[in-house]
Amino acid sequence: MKPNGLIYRLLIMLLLLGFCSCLSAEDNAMLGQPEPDYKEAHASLLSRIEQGTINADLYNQLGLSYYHQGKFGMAVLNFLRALRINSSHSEARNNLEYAINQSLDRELYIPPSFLSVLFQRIFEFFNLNALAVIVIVLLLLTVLCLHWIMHLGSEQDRAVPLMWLFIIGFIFLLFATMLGLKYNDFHDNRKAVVTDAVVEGYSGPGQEFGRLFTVHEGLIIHISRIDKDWALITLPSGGAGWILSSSFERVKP
Amino acid sequence: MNVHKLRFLILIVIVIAFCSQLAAQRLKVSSYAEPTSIGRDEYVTYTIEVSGGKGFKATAPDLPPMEDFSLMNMMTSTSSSYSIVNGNFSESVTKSYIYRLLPKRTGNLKIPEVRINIGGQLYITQPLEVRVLDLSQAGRSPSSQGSPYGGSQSQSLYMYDPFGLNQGFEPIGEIDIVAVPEKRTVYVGEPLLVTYKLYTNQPVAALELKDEKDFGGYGKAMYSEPTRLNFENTVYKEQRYKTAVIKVLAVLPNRAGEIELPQLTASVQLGSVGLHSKTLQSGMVRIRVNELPAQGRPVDFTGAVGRFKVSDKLEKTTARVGEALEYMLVISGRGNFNQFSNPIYPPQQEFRIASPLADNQLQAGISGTRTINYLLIPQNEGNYTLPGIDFNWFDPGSGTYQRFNSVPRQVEIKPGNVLTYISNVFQRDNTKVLSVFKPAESYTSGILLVNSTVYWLIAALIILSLLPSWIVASNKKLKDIDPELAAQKSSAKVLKKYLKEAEAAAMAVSSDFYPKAERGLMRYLSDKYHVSHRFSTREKIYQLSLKGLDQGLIVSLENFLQRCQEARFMPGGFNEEAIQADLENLKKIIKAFIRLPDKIRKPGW
Repeated sequence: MKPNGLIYRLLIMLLLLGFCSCLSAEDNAMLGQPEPDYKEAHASLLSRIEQGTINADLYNQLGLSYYHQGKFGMAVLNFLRALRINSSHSEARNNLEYAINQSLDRELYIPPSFLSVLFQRIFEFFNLNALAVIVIVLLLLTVLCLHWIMHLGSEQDRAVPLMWLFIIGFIFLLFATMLGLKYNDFHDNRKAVVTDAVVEGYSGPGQEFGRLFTVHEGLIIHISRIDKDWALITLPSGGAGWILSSSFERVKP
Repeated sequence: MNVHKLRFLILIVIVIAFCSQLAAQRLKVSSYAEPTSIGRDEYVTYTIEVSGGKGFKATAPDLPPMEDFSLMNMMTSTSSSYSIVNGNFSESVTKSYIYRLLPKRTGNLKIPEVRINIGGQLYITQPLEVRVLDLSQAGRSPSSQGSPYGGSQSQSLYMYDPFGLNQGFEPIGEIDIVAVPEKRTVYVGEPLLVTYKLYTNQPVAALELKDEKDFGGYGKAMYSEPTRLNFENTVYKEQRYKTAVIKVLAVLPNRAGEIELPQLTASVQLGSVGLHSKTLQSGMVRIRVNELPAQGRPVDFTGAVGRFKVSDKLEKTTARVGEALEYMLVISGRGNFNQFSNPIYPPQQEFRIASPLADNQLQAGISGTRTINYLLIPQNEGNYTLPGIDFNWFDPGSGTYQRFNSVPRQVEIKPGNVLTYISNVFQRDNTKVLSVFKPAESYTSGILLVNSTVYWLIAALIILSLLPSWIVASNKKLKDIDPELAAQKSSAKVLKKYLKEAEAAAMAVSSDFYPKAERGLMRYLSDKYHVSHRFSTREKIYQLSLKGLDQGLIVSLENFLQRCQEARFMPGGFNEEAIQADLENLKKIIKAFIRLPDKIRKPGW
């Protein structure tokens, strides 16, 4: 087999591997089911999480059970946890968007531009494992290209292997960067969800400071700093203020 | 410059400006007819031109009564020209009044003088003579042409004499615009066509629609407006009239009770010999609008009123996850299309439904076909029943509410492929429903590859594979570029591998050097040329000689081995200098062997 052909086949395999691992994250659901007992199922799901099971479907179902029990903030939190494990989990994404649309603070979510939506969705499409597989295969291809170049005779033309090295090397760097960002996201401890029904935001860490805003259960926030019982947070709209640390839950369990 | 001189200059400027103004107001009136010789059934174009500076005001002159000609129609045109003479800019405007005249008889006919009053000044044109022959000469028969001016909707509608002036029609001077609704009683929302007709018993040279006066209680749209008037004979007010449709409006009543239809105002120019303008307005017409009956009204009534034919269609019944299924609802007929919205497809758990897109093929929003397309994107594989859409409306013909019941359809959704998945990723805007709560029996913890040691071990192995590959490639390259250096490097390795002990013995000036050197050398040659280690030294040399090696090298080898034997068994056969010399000799022999390729071609190959 010629090196070019080999690289083509490996690239196709790589893409298929990536997509398959994304597709495997999909879950099926059925119609016509009787109304489930949310409390009983909820307890069962919680016990599995306490046993240390890390599964996107599990968190998604837990989020649904919270939603149907009226615990809006916990529902959003668990949809986010499902997406943290598998960003291409379409059901969890759908449920999260649905929940955000129902949120009292939905106006705080500024609609992103078309380009950022495009990049965001491409980024979401590849989950952490898919990216890991793609990166390792691209690394292999890059190393193969290097082997190819090293073993070329001095009289042989290097243009073709160099071209492949640049192409594959560029894609490798791209995906490696995505993997790094995704891994960073996975370990990001700053994303949180408001779980109290109504939360007041102040200009300083205490109720004696001026009141800045009022937010509601289910709002996704970013924690910038913690000062004893208070946390400096950033709202999706860009505003910032201090709220009680007990009023939110971090997405990273 | 003193004050007197300044005053004088200002006076001169004023006088010059006044004179130029006078010059601008000086008008020139001329007239001409062409052609000057026509056939009996042809027309002559009689033009009166008024030209002068910018700003003069002139109205169309009325032609005097003419014995020999009848007026077909009249039009005006204006043209401007600019010139710069000796640095002075001047603008000239010419207004042309063009009359088309039909001869009443043959012979030398006269177009009389025409008197034109412009700004209080009377201008009189010269009378002209036109020769009318029995036979057609110019070939410009008015009956062979369409509208000579191609009047548009926003301009006057000029037309020919609809009455056939040469066929003995005698005008009696009546003209009217009448609004004719197709029904006098309608339901709220039921579209109604109102036709505006011109009734006349005298020639109409031009008609221009001026205004539409609206009253409350309805919406309206223009249904049609002819570009020329097509007259038909009719009887109106018990008299013989000509009638033509001038406009048709679609009126949609939006409240019950009595409503007044729009009133149309038009300006017409009448006359067979001279032109007379007249403003006409259609009369007041009222219609009765009834409420839609409450009895039988569906709870989900759409507000559609009309005579509709409804059908639906599902493009296909098999699709993949993420691949859109197209469902079409087709509503055709006549009704208030613009007063009801597209029905919403009932939400489906397993389908994402895009906002409907309507394709309208409608006239005035009241008649035609509306096709509403719904895209249903399946989210999961399986067999599902799609309900379709029910649509209801009020039929004013029967006075009852009608309903279209869609037949549920079975669809099979197969697993998605890569393409459908990708397209699905970019169509996530229509989130309508929460997914189904259905916990699984068991959940397994997913492995995070980046947290796995095996993953990073594989990555390290892939990267580390570069090292041996680089060493091999470097040696190969060195052999190509500098074979001597490569041989030296290799001999050092060989010596290290096979003759390490011999070299150590040589350093220690020990007699062990010779047996160790012999053993190491023969081991090296046996490995390189695949000669069995079981052979004696002599047999090995014989085997090597069979492999086509350089005879000189074989002789050197034999000599060295001979020297080893001598040194080992002859008393005083070695000393420090001899050992060092023999070591150097050994290195030379090894280098010579290294330079040789591993496989020697046999003689005769």
